[in-house]
This record gives sequence, structure tokens and C-alpha cells, in this order.
Amino acid sequence: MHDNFLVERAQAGDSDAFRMLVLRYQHPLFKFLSAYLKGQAGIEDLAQETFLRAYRHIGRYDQTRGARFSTWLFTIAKRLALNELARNRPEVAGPNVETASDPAPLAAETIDQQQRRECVRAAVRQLKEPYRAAIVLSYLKELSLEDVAAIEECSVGTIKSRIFRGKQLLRCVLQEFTEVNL
Amino acid sequence: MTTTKSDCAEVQAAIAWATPLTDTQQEHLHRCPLCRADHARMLRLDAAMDSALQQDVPSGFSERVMTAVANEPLPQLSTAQRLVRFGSSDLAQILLVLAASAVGIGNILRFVVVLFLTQMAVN
Repeated sequence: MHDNFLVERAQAGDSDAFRMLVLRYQHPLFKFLSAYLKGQAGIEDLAQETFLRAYRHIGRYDQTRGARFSTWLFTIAKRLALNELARNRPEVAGPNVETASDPAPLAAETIDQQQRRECVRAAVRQLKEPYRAAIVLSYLKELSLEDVAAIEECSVGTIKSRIFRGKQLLRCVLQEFTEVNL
Repeated sequence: MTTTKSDCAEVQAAIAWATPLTDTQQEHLHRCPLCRADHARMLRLDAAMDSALQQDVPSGFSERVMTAVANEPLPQLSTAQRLVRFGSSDLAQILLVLAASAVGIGNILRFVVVLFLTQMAVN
């Protein structure tokens, strides 16, 4: 079923339609928020708050203006994530625990998959906005470059340049963390 | 055929955006070692990002969201959206059927009355 149909039903008070939207977007939303926050509990709280805000304000969402539900939802999520970072900066945006406890870069062969994954996440968290949002959103298969541009409120050309620059920065940060040439 | 810096920049940008390469760009990628190396690095980065962004949704998450939603008041709607909501409600559909039936019955009665009056006038 198309998002617009489900949104119309949800606006009409159909909670099953909203449940379908939650099921459709919960996974990409968790992926997106994992680039901003550490810890499953924090991510879950923020994901739940995102859906609750979407429900509360779904009456304001007007699909005739051309915005897709997904871009509207991720705009809410991004604002909440940035607010959370601003409120709790030292904990969520600080250096990653592995590098903090061991300043020497980890050798590539000692990094198992879980550590490597955490290294990449930490590197992404170290990226500054707007590069972080552009990169993470571009990795969500549910969103096109046009959607990412709509969320970031800029042109597709600007998003492309942020992705290009952001990936270069990410490679540099990862190289520092892991000595792996990405 | 020569390779220019602008060709490389164009190909490397397209690789970074994950947009499909044109035939010319594919050809360039095939013969340019710099771009091939960049492409390989980008594939590794993409794989690392795909893996890093894997975040399981905790079981029961959607149920918890819907429980919280159930405690919320109904969404605030604009007048147009209220009309849409009313239009899709059972009550509106019943009223519409009743109104259509009333109009239909009215038309039949009018036809019968006109027929009757015409008959009277003829007689």
C-alpha cells in the first residue's frame, strides 16, 4: 500500500494504517539514529519519540505539497537526534571508547567485525553536520538523492557535493582509527 | 585516448554518489588505475557502512509505539482533513446512501404524481 494512502487513513484516525507506517519505517529509522546515538536504549527511545511526534502532527503533514512521508519522518528524526546530541554532547558525541582507552590505532588484523562496525559508527559520529546526515541518509535504500535533499532542505547538487566531501572525510577518519585504507 | 583530471573527478564523483556510470565513464574506469583504486576503496567503504548501519529493531518495538499512540489524542486536523475524515467514516457513508435513496424515492414519487395528474387531465 502506498504511503499516501496509509497517511490519509492515519489522518482519519485509523491506527492500523499508522502501525503499517511504523513497520515500514522502523528499520531505516533505527539505522539512521544509530549514526547519531550510542546504545540500543537511546536509539529506541528516540525512534519511539519520532513516531509519536509524527502521529501527533500527522494532521499537519500535507502530501499535496509534494513532500513524501519518508522525508517528513526523517526530518523529525534528524531534529530530535540533533537536539539529543546538543543536550548530551559529551556522552554521545565524544570519542569512541576503544580509541579513548587505547590511543594507538588498532591494527587491521586485530579488529573483529563487531569492533570494526563500532569503529565505523564512531567515525560517522565524528563527522560534522551537514556531512553526517547527507552520508547516512544516502545509505538508506528507502531514500533517493531527491529525498535526502528535501530532508536537508537544499538542492540535489548541494547534497551530491556533501556526500562526495563527506565520504572523503569519513575515509580519513576511518584511516586514523583503524589504519585500514578505505 | 588520454585521461584528464576532469574525467577522473567526474567518475569518482559518480562513484561516490552511487549513481549509474555512463558508458564513457565505464570505459574510463576500465582503463584508469587511479579511478579503479578509488572505486575499490569506495566499495569497501560502502560495505563497511552497510555493515555499521545494521541496527536490529528490538522485538515488540512497534507494539510499544502503538501502545503509546493509543494514549494520545486523535491527530489534530485542518478543516479540509476533517472533511476527508468525515467523508471516509461509516456515518457519512450511511448518510450518503440515505440521501441517495431519498432522492431516488422522491424522483419516483414525482414521476408517479406527474403521470397520475396527466392521466387525470386527459380524462
